[in-house]
Amino acid sequence: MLTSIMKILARKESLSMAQLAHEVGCSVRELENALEQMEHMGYIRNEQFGQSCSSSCSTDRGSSQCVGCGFASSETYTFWVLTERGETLVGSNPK
Amino acid sequence: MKIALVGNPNVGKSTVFNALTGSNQQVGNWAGKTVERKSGLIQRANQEIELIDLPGTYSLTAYSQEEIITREYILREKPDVVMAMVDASNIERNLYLVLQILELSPRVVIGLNMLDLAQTAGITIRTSELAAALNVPVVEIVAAKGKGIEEFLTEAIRVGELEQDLSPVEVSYPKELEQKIQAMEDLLAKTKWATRYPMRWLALKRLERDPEIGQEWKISTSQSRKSKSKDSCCDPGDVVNYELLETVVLPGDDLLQTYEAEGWSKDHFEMAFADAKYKYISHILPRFRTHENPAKPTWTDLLDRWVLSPIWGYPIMFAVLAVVFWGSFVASAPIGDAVSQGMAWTADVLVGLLRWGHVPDFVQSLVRDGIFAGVGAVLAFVPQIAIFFAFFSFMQDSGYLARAAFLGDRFMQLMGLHGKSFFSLVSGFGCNVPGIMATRTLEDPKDRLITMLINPLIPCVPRLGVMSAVVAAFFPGSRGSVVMLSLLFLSMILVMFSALFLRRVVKQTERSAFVMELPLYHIPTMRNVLIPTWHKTYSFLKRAWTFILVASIVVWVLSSYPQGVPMNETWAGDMGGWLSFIGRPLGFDWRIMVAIVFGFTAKETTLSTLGILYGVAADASQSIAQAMTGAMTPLRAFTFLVVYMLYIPCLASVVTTYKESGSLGWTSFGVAYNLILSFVMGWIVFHGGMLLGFQ
Repeated sequence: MLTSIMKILARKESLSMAQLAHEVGCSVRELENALEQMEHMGYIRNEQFGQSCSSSCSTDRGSSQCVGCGFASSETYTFWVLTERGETLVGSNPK
Repeated sequence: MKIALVGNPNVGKSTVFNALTGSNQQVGNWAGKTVERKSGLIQRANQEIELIDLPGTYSLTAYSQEEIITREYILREKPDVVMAMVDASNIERNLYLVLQILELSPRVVIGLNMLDLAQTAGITIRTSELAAALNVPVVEIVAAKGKGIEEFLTEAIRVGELEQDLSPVEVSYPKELEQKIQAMEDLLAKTKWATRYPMRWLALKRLERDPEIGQEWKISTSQSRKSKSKDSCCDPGDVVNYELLETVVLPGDDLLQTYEAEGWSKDHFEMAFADAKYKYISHILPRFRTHENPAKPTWTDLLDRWVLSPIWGYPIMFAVLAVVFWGSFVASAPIGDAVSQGMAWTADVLVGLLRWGHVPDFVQSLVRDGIFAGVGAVLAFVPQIAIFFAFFSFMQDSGYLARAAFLGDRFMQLMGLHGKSFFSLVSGFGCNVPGIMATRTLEDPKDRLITMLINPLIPCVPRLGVMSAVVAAFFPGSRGSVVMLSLLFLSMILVMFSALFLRRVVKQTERSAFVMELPLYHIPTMRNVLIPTWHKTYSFLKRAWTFILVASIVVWVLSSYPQGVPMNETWAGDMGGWLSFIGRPLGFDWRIMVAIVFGFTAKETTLSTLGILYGVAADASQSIAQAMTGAMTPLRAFTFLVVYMLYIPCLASVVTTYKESGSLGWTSFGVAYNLILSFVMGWIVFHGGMLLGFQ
């Protein structure tokens, strides 16, 4: 399962959790468990991609909107990416 | 008897520990660690049992203090039994740790907790079959209700008193790995380490080059158990301290080098062992677990099959955007007209009052031709912009925006853009400044630079607002949404083209993939739509009354002096005249060139400048749309929109690019690139349109 995930990530194509779970042949929850384990081992990492104008900008508590310019969206994206160690692992296969 | 209590975090270990030990606990830290150490004494049938609550952990590798403490305790202290607690509602995750514990200790009893939660989730665990699958006893418990805890301990005591060890299941690895494990076991069998550690576990760790294996420790101090103070519930302090004596290199280096030459690095071994355990869990799971309707697709799954489809996803995305733009133009048209008429009426009334009060003519002109023409031109489109913001918030709160971003990334992979770069571009749709700043999350400086340079090609909300205002004036009704979509499509094409071009200029490393967590679809709440809409609209209005007001006054001065001359002979006219050599090939008159120059400071000022220069308030019955449509053809308007969309977003974005890139050279390159690209594209559109017979 973990090796399959790494091989799919090595294809350099972005997937949603459901799509990856379907390809690996497991449930999304099983996939989450596996991804957390791989993160723990240092092969992938979880990243949050949020938006703010600057460090001095604050967020409105009610709406979670940036109160700086008001145009920045509060949408935060969460995704898993290979770490350098993970890249090295998928880039080299045993003979 | 010594018993260790282990399990994943939040599995209910502490509840069991507290129930069994009561107030007879010792709490301190593990020697040299910041991890809490809890132990307690239990009396059962004239037997004193020491129960150690080991830190909650998901595995027994050497990546965290909790893992090292747990496994070192089992290895060094060799408890008589290990009580392993398992969460029945997430058993597949918990069994990974159990399989690792079984490699370390043969005397293990499993406490299957949270069965009630599992049943609620439609999960049934057949305890006897789980016990058979792992070949260790399993006791059902509901720790939160105190059920089964005593039976769990009784079973642990029974196993601890057995004369012979249990024979728990052994994970079988692929044949190639088993051969390697066996070869390492043969080497290690002749050493003193074989007597200290379970042989197979030692071989696995040696192949993984585990840094903790080979360390010689001694117990340096053994503090006597202090009696607890009257104010404390627990006894304090460490019981055992370890001291590292030396680190010995175990045999097997030559073998490891041979494997390394075959491509088997420590990471490959580690991943292969973990993978085999996960496969083993998947293999045995159906024997003892039944999950009612586990694969029943949710609404999100069903929708995502279409929305994220490589074939249907893009037409759906364009259809959604078409609805957004159509709604923005058509639904807002009556409100926009009403605001426009209201502004004209207010200007009339105010100027009438000024005239009645014998206020000087130039002040009347400033109010009517400067402030109302400039700021009013922007305010007339606020309803339209607010409706656009409401649609945007609706898409965001429903969960669709994340999917649109995801689709966009897949599309742009073809252009060699990094996955995360696309999310910076999505931020650019809100405002280019945070979009440029969001590139900080990109590790590769070259990726950062490319993303920074192409971000201004994404039309930000203020630009979209002005564009939608011009589109509404020249292409009313449904045509407007088609024109807006074509502009966005052009923007995407140019982002891709620019990415390809800049990849040649700035050499980029290989892109990497990602797995994205998408939110569940849900019906947006009024609050989550209206509050962000208000915030964005308010920001727009705030800028109109501050920055745009000042800009409107400046433009009015430039377009009013010297007094008594036609507008094209004023200072603004002179400025436009100097720039006409650039505007003429694109069919722009001097007023559009002046508006473009003022747009450098902030994009909304383009609209206010056009309002003043086209003399919107000079005739109160005439709106900016009517004034502009009387002076420009749709082809020229479309050309203006292309140039306007692509040239530098604003001064703030240029300053941010400089701050983030730290390079004046690349910032200048970015400015020049945007300017040249916008005017070249404008020329192509204008002359292409002429060739096709448009006026």
